[in-house]
Amino acid sequence: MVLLNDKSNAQYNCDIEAAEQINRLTRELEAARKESSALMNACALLNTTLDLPKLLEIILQQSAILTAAEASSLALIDEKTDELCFEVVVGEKKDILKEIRLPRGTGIIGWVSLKGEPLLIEDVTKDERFYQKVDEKSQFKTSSILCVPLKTKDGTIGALEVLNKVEGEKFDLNDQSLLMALASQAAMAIENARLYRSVLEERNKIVSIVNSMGDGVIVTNENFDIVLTNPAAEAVFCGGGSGASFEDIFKLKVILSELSQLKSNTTFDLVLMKPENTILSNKMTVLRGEDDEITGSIVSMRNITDLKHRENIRAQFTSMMNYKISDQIQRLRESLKNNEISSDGVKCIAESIEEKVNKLIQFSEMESGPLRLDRSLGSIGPIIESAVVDARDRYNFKRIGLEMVCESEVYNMDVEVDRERIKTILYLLLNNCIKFVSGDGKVEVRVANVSEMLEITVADNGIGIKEEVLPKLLDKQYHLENVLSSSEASLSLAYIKHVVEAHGGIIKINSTVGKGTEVIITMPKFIH
Amino acid sequence: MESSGTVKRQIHEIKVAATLKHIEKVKQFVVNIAQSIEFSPIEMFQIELVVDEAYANAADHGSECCRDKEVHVRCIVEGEKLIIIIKDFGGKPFNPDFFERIADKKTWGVGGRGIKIIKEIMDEVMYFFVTGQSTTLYMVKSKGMPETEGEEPKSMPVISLPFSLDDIPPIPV
Repeated sequence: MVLLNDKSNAQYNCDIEAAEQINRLTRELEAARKESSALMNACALLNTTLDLPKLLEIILQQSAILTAAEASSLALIDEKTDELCFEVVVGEKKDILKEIRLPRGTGIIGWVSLKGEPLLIEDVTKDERFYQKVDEKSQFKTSSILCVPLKTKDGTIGALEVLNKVEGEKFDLNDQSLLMALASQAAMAIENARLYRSVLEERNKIVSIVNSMGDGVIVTNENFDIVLTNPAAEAVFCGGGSGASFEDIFKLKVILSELSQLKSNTTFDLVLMKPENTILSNKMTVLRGEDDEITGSIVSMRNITDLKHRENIRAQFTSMMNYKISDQIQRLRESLKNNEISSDGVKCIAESIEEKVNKLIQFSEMESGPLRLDRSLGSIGPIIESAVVDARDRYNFKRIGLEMVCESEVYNMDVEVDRERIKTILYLLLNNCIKFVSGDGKVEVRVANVSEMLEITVADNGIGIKEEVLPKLLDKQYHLENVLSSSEASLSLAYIKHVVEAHGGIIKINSTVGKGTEVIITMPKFIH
Repeated sequence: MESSGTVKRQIHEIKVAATLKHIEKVKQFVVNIAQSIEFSPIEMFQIELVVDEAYANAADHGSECCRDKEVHVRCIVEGEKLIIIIKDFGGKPFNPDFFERIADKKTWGVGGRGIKIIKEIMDEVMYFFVTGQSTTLYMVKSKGMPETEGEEPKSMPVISLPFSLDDIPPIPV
């Protein structure tokens, strides 16, 4: 047995006290280390996602772990309604709490988000700010709450709360500091996720708009590498069925390489002649950053193939007619100079030139839109008769019978039409008949008053027209397309239609191959 | 040498003053590169003809406003494919589609028929116009079916022209 004296006894007590203190400090230090580690871990987790629902779940899980709480919840301010909206809560009551929306100042969480200050309540039953209905709805019994605001540089965006410390313990100021630190990081992460979400939404909106555009669109980065294209652009360059991916199409690389050298907004044309047959009118807009450096470009491409095709056909027509006219004038001049031509020959060439000039005039009338008619009131009979007589003299109706059928009361019927143009279209119709009626054929011009409408019919017993050609006969474009391939191609039917429509009338063609053709013009007798 | 994925490209370029006197030089440049692909004699003749027409157009249109302008000719070999890019700096857009369409009908004036020939011979043809700045003609010719080994062409290759040379009248006044 060892007996200790008083001094030794005091020293012994002192050592025990110091050891206990060291133990306590070590435990506290270890706890602080764990808390710090948990906080760092939680903050690191916040940076693992930009998906807002996932992020909120992480915040709630980590806040409960960090503060040893039974549950946690988070509410964000809905700017549109100025309400607090429970975005998500950890635990089985997630769905119920998600439905809860509170006026901004309501409840502990409402108070914190309004004031922007933390709140630690040991017994919620003693705090009148406590909002009982959330517990009723969630069937969770809240006893204590630690709630901290979620603050960004622009203000408070909501609040984060942890409920009931586990094992009956109470939340303390240390928990509050930890939760504040987490909330600060969480608020930033929420703001980033929201910004990311809105950027994604904007991007999707832009992509939807671009994809719905009829014009082709190609967006590039600063190196003129493609970053976005729409189906219209892909159809132009991938439509050939080469199977190459859009980015691998070499001619596109060549185009973008050329554009990259321009360095400014530019309009340009592309004619893809082979294997495609496409004409594109394009615009490149260069995108620039704050320092005026190029950050990318947008190339919009409009397919103008059909438009150019129509323009080309018109240009071909006028070129061809002009050439033919100048050629005939040249020949006439040379023949006259050498005294090699008779007066009949001169007349023949002059009529041929006149016909071509008339075609050009008719073409320009059609091109310039609706006709301005020179209407005058008078009997229809003499107009038709005059055209028939002139045609008989002018065209080769010597062998072909040409008759006008018109009852006397119709002959004297007043109409308000452009007399010259009506005569012209009759000439043109009769001229067409000549080409398709054989020597013993017959052409009849009938005039009638049908339901107070003027009806002029030109019928022949010629070779007729094939059924498949009939619908195209009145189409100007169809005739223009054939101008160069057939010397007989004529715009006359299209012009007749143009004149008839200017009178408010319609034209119809009935034909049977081998039996003949009937052109029926129906138009109002008067303007009104 | 440039490569994209598994495709390797050899790029060659020549820059000449936009004048017709360089036409032989340009043709020789293209022919030398085309030989590496081992095109058949007919294909080589066709390529020469195309370069003749395309360069003549570029030199003609590219030097209208300024005599010291250049024509850039780039040849790219990609496997058995020859890509020819001819760029002039006249910046005068025209409608190749119109000229191509009218070529076999047109019996007056000169010009335009080259485009028809180019389109007939080449596998890919594209024009790129930047008004007031440049015109770029992009053409691709792929090597066709190989001839029977050792067999010489029986006669000079015949290019089927869509018109007769007798059809071309003097320009009407």
